[in-house]
Amino acid sequence: MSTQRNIKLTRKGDVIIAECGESAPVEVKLIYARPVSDRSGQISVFDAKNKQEIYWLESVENLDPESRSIAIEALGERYAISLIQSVEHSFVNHGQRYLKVTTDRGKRYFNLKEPGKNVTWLGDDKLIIRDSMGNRYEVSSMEALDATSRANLNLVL
Amino acid sequence: MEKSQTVNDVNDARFNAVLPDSLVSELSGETPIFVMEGDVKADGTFGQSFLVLTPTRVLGLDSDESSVIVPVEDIKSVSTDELFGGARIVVETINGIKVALIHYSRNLISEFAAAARIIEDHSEERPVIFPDLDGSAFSESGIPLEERGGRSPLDMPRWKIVNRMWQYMIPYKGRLFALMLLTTVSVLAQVYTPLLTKQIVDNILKQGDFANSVEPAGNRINLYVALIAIMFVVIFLSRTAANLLKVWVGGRLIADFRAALHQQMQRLTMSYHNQKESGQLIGRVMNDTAELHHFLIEGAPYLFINLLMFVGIGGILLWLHPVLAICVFLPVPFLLGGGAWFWKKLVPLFHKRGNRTNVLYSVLGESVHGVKAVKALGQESRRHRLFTKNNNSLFGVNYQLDGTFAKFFEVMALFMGVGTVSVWYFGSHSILDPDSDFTFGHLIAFISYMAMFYGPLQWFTAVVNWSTHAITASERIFQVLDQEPETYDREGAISLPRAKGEIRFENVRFSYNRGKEIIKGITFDIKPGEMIGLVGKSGAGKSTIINLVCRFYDVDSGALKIDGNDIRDIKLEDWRRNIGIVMQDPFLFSGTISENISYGNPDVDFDEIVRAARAAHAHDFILDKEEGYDTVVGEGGVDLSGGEKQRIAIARAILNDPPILILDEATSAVDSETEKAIQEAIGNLVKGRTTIAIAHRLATLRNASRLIVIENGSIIEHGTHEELMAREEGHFAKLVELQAENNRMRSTQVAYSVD
Repeated sequence: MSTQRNIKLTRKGDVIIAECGESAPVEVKLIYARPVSDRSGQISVFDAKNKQEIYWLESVENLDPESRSIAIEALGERYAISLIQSVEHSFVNHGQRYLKVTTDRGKRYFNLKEPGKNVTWLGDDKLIIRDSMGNRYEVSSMEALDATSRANLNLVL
Repeated sequence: MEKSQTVNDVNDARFNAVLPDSLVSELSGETPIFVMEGDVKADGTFGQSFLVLTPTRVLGLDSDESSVIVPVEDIKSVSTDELFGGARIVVETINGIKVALIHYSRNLISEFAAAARIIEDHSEERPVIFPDLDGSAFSESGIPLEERGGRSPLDMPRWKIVNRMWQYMIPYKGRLFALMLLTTVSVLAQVYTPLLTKQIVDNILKQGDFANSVEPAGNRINLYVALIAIMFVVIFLSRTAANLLKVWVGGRLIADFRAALHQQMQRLTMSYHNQKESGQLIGRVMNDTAELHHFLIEGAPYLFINLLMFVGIGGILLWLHPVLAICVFLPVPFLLGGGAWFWKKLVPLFHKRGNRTNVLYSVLGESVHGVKAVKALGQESRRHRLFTKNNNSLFGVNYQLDGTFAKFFEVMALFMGVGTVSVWYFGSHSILDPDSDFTFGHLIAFISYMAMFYGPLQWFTAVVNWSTHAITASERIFQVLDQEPETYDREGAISLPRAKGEIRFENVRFSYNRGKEIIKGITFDIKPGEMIGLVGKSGAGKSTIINLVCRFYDVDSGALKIDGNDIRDIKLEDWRRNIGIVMQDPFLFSGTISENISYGNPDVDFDEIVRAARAAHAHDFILDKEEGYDTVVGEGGVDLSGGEKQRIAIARAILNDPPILILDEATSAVDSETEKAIQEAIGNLVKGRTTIAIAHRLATLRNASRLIVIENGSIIEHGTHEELMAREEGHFAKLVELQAENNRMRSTQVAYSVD
């Protein structure tokens, strides 16, 4: 496994190719090591076919500009998550929790089951919700939500 | 060869979405094979998108008219890619370019996985078969569901559920009628008692002139008191009998439900069992039935009795004094409305408390079960901080909940106080008014009725809410009962008491989840009495082949034939009796070792059990236990080692004497000495039987007649052990070499540590 600064990423359609030192170019996936708790760095460049890491990146900043922009784009696609901007309505019915929210990607209406398992608090203010189908939503800051949204969210958490 | 289907052959609108007019031109006049609607646009925002397969092209389109079009002849492979916040279908072209055709949320994972497989089948000129899709993520009325294909309680037609519950009650309708009759009698007696006290007060005590009355007052008092006493006896008898009846009917009904659920669970398909967590299914049998039970013996009678009381007392109050009755009725809307308002506040708090209690239980459980690890890692303080944090969190919600309850009771008492004050005020003034016929007896009766009238009202909303929970529990029970069970016998299924043991896979394809193909068109034969070893990495598809042989699942396409018959044409129960399985971690039932060995054959003689145990090299260790063959194992019994359990499983298989034997990693979790004993036991077991064996330790497959090497759902090599070892670049030879190297490294490490 190599470390920093001697890797180059190129893109062929939706395929990311990594050239690492003298080794032959390989098709890779870029994977955050901690996608839930920290998506700012610690990225594994992962050989998609042989299912093994070929490179470890502390941050995309350590890549050359072209590779960096490919990495940012690829990570953006793989780790796109809906950011909740407001919670219009929430209610509990027969033990099931329902939320109607507006996210940066549009409106969603979803069912949240077992908040103990499917809500991950990242500190006191930030949380990630996984709905009953496995879709993830992020509340970047409870504090930054309006009072109604906070109250609606608190009702079901 | 199967024939291609068209969307008209399948009754699922999800394959036949309507393309907006603005996108129809993209089809260039071709008739689509399918049109599926997605929910994420090309720019990543939520919105309408479409995946269309035509005879010559596959198109990813969205309502912003952004499109990805790939000619079918250019497709090399199609795969689905699950992302952090959704998923996509990726097509690889023959030029090695990969293109994302369409993105979608996880709500549509099952649908698009199926689509990917259809596209691949079509591009490889295989017949297009539309698989049965899993249920949708939303109900028909657009409510997001807790589980795919489930039903939303918000859509629940309650009368239908109540009607179905009634079907279960029909056998006990005589008792139910008696229960209602007795309850009505008890209510009438309770309602009549205050009228008797009114008679005593108005007709006897109020007159004062006891000495000169025509009939001695004492006699009349005795009569009324006797009537009151009779009422109490009637109440006692009717309520006791009704209570016994309700406990019997409620309990019987729940026992019936539990039995029906258990029977259904035994018959449900393995795919259903794999989709559900075992805790969820046990919850259906125990918790949902308990919820229903509790409501049937407490809630439903409460509603019935108090509705009768409410109507009866209301009628009597109106009859006694309409104006004062209105004073009593005044707080009723507030009691009902207040109850509803408070209950709305309380329900989320109850759920919060439930969740936080579960979390605390889980933390506590880990602290107890993991105490050794906590101590070893020196994390006692951290563990305690975690417990304290969750404990405080539970305290917070408990305080909120109990505080709301306390306020609820006080506010309800205040509302009732308004009624009581009004009755005393207007009642007393009416007594003093010479023109009024309102008597002291009326007032006493009103006061008595008020307590009976108001008391239950505050709980009405709670009990109505409770009834909806009971209906939801019933709905969940019916969801399990309504599941399609395993197809035991197709029409005209043949009986196969004892198979010869010939197994043939003919171009078999199979996937657990639609679209993610695990077995990709494999063909091979096993002759009667042959031992076949399946070799390959984890996830290659070996265990899936075994699952198909056991017919835990049916093939998606191709055929699996036994003695020349399609496995689906053989009576399932007959077929399973032909198979013996020894697994890595065999399951032992609660019971004695003897009972476990004879589990598939309970009427067998003890001598036969001993013979099987001897052949399985289990006899000696069984005798070494204090209670020998009577040793209780399984839940709550004696712990057996992995090797001991396996030898019991082998003895079980020997006793069943099946013509086909499956060994799934039967020696992987035991030490070398135990392995030797198990190998000898297996040697006794496989004689004369068709055997399929999976073994992690490749050396243990040396005696197999042939080996089949599986990779990624396909056969990549097959032959005898010697033939495969002779191939220098062969996969099997490489695997054996790799394993030998690992063993050498381990021996060296052991040698160093010994030094």
